[in-house]
Parts: sequence; structure tokens; C-alpha cells
Amino acid sequence: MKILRTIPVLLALAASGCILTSGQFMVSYDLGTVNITSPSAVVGVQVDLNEEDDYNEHKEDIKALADEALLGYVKNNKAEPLKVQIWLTPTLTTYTTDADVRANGVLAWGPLDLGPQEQLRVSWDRSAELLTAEGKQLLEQEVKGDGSFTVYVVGAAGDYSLTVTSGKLLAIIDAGI
Amino acid sequence: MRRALWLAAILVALAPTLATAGGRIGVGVFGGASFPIVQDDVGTGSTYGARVPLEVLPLITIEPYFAGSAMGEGEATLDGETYTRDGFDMTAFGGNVMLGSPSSPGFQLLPYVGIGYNHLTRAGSADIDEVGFNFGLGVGFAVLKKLSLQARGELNMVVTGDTSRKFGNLTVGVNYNLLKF
Repeated sequence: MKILRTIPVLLALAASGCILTSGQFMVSYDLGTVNITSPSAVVGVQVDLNEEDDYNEHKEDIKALADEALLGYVKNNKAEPLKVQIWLTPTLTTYTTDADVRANGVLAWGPLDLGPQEQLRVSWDRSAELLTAEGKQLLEQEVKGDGSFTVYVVGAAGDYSLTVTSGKLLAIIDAGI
Repeated sequence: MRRALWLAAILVALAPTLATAGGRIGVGVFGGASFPIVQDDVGTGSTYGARVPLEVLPLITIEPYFAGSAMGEGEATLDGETYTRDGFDMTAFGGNVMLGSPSSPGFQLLPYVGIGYNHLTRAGSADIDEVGFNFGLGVGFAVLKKLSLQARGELNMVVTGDTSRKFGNLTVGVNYNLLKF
């Protein structure tokens, strides 16, 4: 009789399978300092998540991307207001103009509004809100794929100059244990 | 409205059993701590709720419930900089099936399983509206004829596609037996 009592529990556990043996794991990547002096002097950051132990530990069993953010400090170096965007290309690229980035990449994040000469610390919550659906889709595709892509920080329009310091890419992956 | 309809449907489904079997019905409230399990983006929070134990057979209790949780902030420290992430606010309703009778006199061991609808929300993320499963063990002790105290440990597992978000809940509560039928 006691054994019979445990059957529903065991059946439920069996049915849940790998759903039970999964979790949400943090993977971060250092984007460092990015200094963009003009729309024709853009610098991309090539990301290879395979350099990160946390990613390698789970990459064979990643099911989805649960949360993601681009963190750090962003400064507008000009006297005019600036809308900051982040674009991604799914491969390792070296575009040097924002026109090339827009023609070949995906708008992943933004815009983040900065006043003249303003520097802002981008919080995790704020950053998650600024991620676009297309950006999330591309990030998830890359996290589940080869883990390499390129990040470009640009202004939305006009002439601009900006600096990112202590930049980080943060991903929370849904994966098996 | 949807929750009320769910509860009504559960009660209607149980009505024939209740009418023939005889049993007891009570109400209870509970509260305690909720711990994220293997979730790097959520912190420890609190949980609370209400339940309606229906003792339909001598050893079977069906227990519709409503629960709410306010999870703590997730935290990431990267090169000395600490970033925090809004924790989930969760509401859930469903039903547990318990082996045992929480309103019986004396000390009671109360294992249970359950299923429910879970709604998780937080800033900057799409809401999660998914089925969840509960696996738990409670201990109960009747302090008065109609009043009993309970402590429970529970795994609440909200299915998110091929994975799940899991919470460990430790709660204490009080049950009051409304009537016998």
C-alpha cells in the first residue's frame, strides 16, 4: 500500500524528464572599452562565447535564452543629444562605418537616450527592456549555435562620438544540468 | 474571472464525489519563504496564499489553492560592478492531491502532488504563463477541534518549454474546518 502511494509521484517525475534536471545559468562576456569617434570610425567587438567556461559547460544542452542584457557605462562625447543603438552581425565582421553595420546587421538593442556629454550606467533591468525581438532571436540563435558574433555600438543618426566602458554581455541560458 | 471559473469547474467536477463519499471542507492560509533552485537570475523571496482542503475520502484530500510569490532580485557581480535584476512576481492557482487528512486529530504526515497555472512577470521580460507541478510534504497538528497548524516543504516546478523554473517553498499555515458533509 505504501508503495502504491508513491506511484503518482514517480510517474510525474518520470514524465517531467529533463524538465526537472535543468536550470538557468549565467554566462558573461567582457566587451571592454569601445570608443567610437564618428559614424565612419565604427569598431565592432567580436564575441566568442566559447572562451567562457560557463558557456562551454552547458553549450551541448542549451534549450533557450531566458534573459539577456548589455551592461556597462555609455558616454555621449558630443554636445548634442544622442540615441545609442547596438547592432549585431551573426558572424565575425569588421565593418568600419555605421552604414555597413545597418546594411548587414540586426538592430538588437536601443535606443538609449543620452543628453549632451552625459554618461549613464546601464542597469540590467533597463538593458533587458531595450533588447529588440530581432536581437533576442539572433542572440538565442548564436548562443545555441557557434557562439560567435559581432557587437557594434552606434548612434541612431547624425554625427556622434561615444564611449562604452566596462561593457559586458550577460546571457541567462536555459540548459540541462 | 478566469480564476473563479476554474475554481467553479473544480468544485462542479468534485460535487458527485462529495455528495456520495462524505467528508470535510476547510479553509487555510499560509505564508513563508520561496527559494529559486538553479536560477542565476532570481533571488530568495516570499510566498503566501490560501487553500481549500476537501477531504473526500478517508485518506484523500483534494486541495484547490491560490498562491502568490514575490521573488528577490537576481544579482551579478562583474569585475567588481554589481548589477541586479528584478525578481519575478508570481501568481498561481490549481489543485493538490494529498495523502492524508489535515484536519484529523494528532500529528499528520501529508505528502502531496499538484498541478496549477502559473503567471510569472518581471520588468523587461515576456510574461511566463505556464503549467506548473508541485511535489511536497507537510506536517500537520490539530491544536483545537477545528483548527490545525501545518508546515510544508514543496518543490514548485514551472515548465518553460524543454526546461523549467524551480522554486523551493517553505511555508507555515493554519487550517480551519468549516463543515462536515
